[in-house]
Amino acid sequence: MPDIEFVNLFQGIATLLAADTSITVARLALIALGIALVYLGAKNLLDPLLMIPMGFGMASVNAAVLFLAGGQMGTIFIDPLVSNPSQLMAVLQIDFLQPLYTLTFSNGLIACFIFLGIGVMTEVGYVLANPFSSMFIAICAELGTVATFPIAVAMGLDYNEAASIAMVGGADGPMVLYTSLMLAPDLFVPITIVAYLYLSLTYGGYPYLIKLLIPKRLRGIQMDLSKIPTVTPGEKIAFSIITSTVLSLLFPVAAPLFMSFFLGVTVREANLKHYISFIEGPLLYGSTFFLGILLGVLCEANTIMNPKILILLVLGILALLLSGVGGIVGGYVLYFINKGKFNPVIGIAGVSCIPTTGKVAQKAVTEANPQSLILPYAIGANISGVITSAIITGIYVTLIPVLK
Amino acid sequence: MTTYRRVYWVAGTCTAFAGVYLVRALSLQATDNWRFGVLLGGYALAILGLFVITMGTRRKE
Repeated sequence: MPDIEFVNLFQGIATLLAADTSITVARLALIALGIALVYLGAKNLLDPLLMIPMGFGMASVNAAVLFLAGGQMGTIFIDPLVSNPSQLMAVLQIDFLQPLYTLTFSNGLIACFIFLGIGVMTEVGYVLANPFSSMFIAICAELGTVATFPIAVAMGLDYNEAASIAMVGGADGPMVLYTSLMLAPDLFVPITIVAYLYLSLTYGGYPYLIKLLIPKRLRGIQMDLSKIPTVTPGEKIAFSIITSTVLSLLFPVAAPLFMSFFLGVTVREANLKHYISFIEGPLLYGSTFFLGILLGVLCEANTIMNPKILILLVLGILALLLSGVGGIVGGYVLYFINKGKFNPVIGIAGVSCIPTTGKVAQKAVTEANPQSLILPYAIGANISGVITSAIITGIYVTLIPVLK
Repeated sequence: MTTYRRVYWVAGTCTAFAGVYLVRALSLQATDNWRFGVLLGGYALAILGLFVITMGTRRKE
């Protein structure tokens, strides 16, 4: 009988035994985390649309490490660090998710698809109806995006990395993906993963922040919906094309995001039914599904093990917390300016995780006063948050390279 | 669209593109001392122009 080492028949296990202890522990922890994400997603405690494919990818990629040519360990899922064109051509033919990664993820296309979908689902009329309150709240809710930058620099990150992790404060996944791809390609995998993990927590975490900072009496304040003026589709289209053009002229590097978002808005307002059903259905859900898989698969222990990951975890949660607090402070300012006739809970909707934070705001208000409807104002702040996050993305990707 | 609203649209669009002109053209020709101010003024003017447009759309007719 030939001498067979049975452990080598099961390479996933053999590679666990052959790797450094730290990598083995990280792989086991990531497998457990992946399974936990699938469970929490299936139970609707985390966003299932992203967490189920992401958790599945995370568990699978860390289980499926094998011995490759030359005795190296790796997977046949994806190689995010390959940069040499000839190596890339070889990897494209072997790693089954590499074409998706190279052609949609690493160039930001998938972020633009998602932004197009968000645009199609966005009623920009709420911003046009209340531009001052919406934009004021959105600017206040960028506190985390702005304040985290110097803190990150003080903690040892360079300007590019600091700007990328600070964008988590905008609570907008595609923006973080885009900024980190442009400014910190070496760290964009851990930054994007930290961002999406935390973004899924906003739904669970922000209600506690609202209850902590706003008493029940103020949470139940009713808004006067009769003051909302009607904005015609033509005005919304004109506003979209002018805003997109102006912002693209100002920040050409972030132009793909501006174009995608406002094109989505225009498709909606022009009532192009076939485009609308394609973009908000197959394109948006398909992009979210593949984004989830890719993010999960990128969580391979060797890729994600970075000494800066702990700093990124701390800064990410700090950025989101500061943005939430900033938004609520903005809500309080408008409450005092309007002599008690503005519900400060709307402030949390300035954090641009559309439509999650808008829904969180309405849910918190309904718990305090079932008769109170604030959603139109909250969605206005939400959309303004997307616009201010895109502007800050533009400022960072335009100015940070100049600062260097 | 009423003349009143049209004024806001035209004024806002012109203001926004004036801001773009400051940022993309004039700031490049400005001396180092003035460049940052021109850039900042341009960005502010562009955003202000978009605000002027929204002021027109929110008016009830």
